[in-house]
Amino acid sequence: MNTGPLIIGREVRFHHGDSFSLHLPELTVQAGERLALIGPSGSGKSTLIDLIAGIHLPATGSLEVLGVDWATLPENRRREIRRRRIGMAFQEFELLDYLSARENILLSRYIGASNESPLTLAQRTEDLARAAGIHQILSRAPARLSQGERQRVALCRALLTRPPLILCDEPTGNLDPQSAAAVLTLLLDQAKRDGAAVIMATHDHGLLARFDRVLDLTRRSPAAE
Amino acid sequence: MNAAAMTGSLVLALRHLRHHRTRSLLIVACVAAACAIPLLIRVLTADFQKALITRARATPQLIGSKGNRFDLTMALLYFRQVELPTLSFADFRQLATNGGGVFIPLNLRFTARHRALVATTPDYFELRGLRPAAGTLPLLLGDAVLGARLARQLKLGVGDSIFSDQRELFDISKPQSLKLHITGVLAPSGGPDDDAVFTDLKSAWILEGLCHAHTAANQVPERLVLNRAPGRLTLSEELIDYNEVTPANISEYHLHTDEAHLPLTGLIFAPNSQKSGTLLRSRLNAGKLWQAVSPMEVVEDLLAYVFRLRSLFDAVSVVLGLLTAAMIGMITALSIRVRSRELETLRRIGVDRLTIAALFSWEIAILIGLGAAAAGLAVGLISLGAPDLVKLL
Repeated sequence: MNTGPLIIGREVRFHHGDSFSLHLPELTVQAGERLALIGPSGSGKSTLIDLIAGIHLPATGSLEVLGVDWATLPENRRREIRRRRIGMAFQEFELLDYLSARENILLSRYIGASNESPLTLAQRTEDLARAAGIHQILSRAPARLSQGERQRVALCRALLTRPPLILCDEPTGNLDPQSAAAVLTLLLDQAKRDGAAVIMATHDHGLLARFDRVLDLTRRSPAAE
Repeated sequence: MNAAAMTGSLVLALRHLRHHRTRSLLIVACVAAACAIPLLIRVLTADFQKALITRARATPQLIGSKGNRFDLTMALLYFRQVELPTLSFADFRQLATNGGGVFIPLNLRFTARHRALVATTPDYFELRGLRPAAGTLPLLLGDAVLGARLARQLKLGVGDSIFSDQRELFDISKPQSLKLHITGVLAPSGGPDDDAVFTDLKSAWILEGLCHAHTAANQVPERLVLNRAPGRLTLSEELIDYNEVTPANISEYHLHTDEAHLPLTGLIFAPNSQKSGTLLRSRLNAGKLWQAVSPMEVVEDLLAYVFRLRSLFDAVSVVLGLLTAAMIGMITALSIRVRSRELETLRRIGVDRLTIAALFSWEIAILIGLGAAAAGLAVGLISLGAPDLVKLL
């Protein structure tokens, strides 16, 4: 079993045209750690999330996530690891409008992201929904949910398979402070229960106190709190 | 892609199609139409061909006055109501006297309850192999026997009656309709005989106004009598509703013309030998009055037109199929564009390309499958009623 850091990055550089570049001399994230990414728009928070998820590959340097160097893996293998071992949540929730809230949470089951039985996943869905306070609206379509409810559904989707790493790209960006606090509590509590590391990009400095560490990308270099 | 993802992509496809049910139903309807139209044309033309050929094969030759051979064939084979130049009973007598086979006269100039009223001789029933399932064939003047389907549709049976249709409703000089007594119902034959009313030739001539009975003064209904004096009877202007042959007046019926003026629509000729058939045919066709046709030859000519038309429909069907395929392709391409955000989300959470491809493939397969099933169902149901539809052609 791998007991070392969950993420090890060295001299990670990423360019997007001439206008954007990201340089991380060093990045280490331990299992169960809670890391917040802050910085103004365009500082590279979402790009770093994508690099850690293996959606993009660094131009130079190495980035090892969950024990594998993304650069050594083909696209389909990277997708498989992301599908099975990384939970993801987004600012715009990205729920599928043709599925109910319950089916959205169970999306992992439909895309072959879990080996657990349908019964187990269904029970896990109920448990997560109850913890998130959305168990009574599981049969509703996303269009009939409030913003806060949608984000809680999206978080439950990310948490369903108990992934060791959860990546969140400004999940509270569209929520009022009360809903944002509730969503963050859900995320961090469930992650702690499952022993998952959480990396969350955010603009909301009021939430930073609840993280173990904050990475400020304003200067595009790591800065420990 | 594992089995769970395969099944899961099916579930997602079904959910997506259900969510966009109007669009899905529209595509299914288009696919169904594209599949069903050529199939239906095949089924109907095959049944049409079979019905025509079966009837034509069972009918050796047709004889009528010079005119359109298609009209003559469709009238004598299928009892189609077309105006044909008549020949006379005297013509029939003349041909029959010359021999060479059996001549069956037909008068098809009237209808009963809007179905063909076929006035003929017992030889017709013999030729067609028609047997009564109930009752007897027409034995007396004014008797009728019904085809099986007609009897079922009109809920009529032995002992009931059926009226001929009045041809000239507002011309009181024309004969009234005739009340026909149903003496039998034929067993089903699977052909046009099932939809016809059969009677004897003399009954048709009553309808022509060439055969009638004189009512004795003491048998006139009292409601029509205005004044009755010795040797003199004054009747009201009230119309007599219909004619009826009864045991009391049957012996009174008599013809008011000679055989040369008793009209027939045509004759069916069953020659004793191929030679006698060929001889009569060439003799009649060389003359100026009559024509003899082989129903098979006429039907083959008719089918040639049908097949030419079917080829046209086949070409239209191919175009329709291509257009439907193009429409599905365009809708899928448009759907991929409209769903780009959803696809990006799926990519970001790690769904592999095969699962995404399977999702779209399932959707297309389900739509085509449902369309094909709907087409199959429609064609199946219509095939069951194909004989009735062919009858309409």
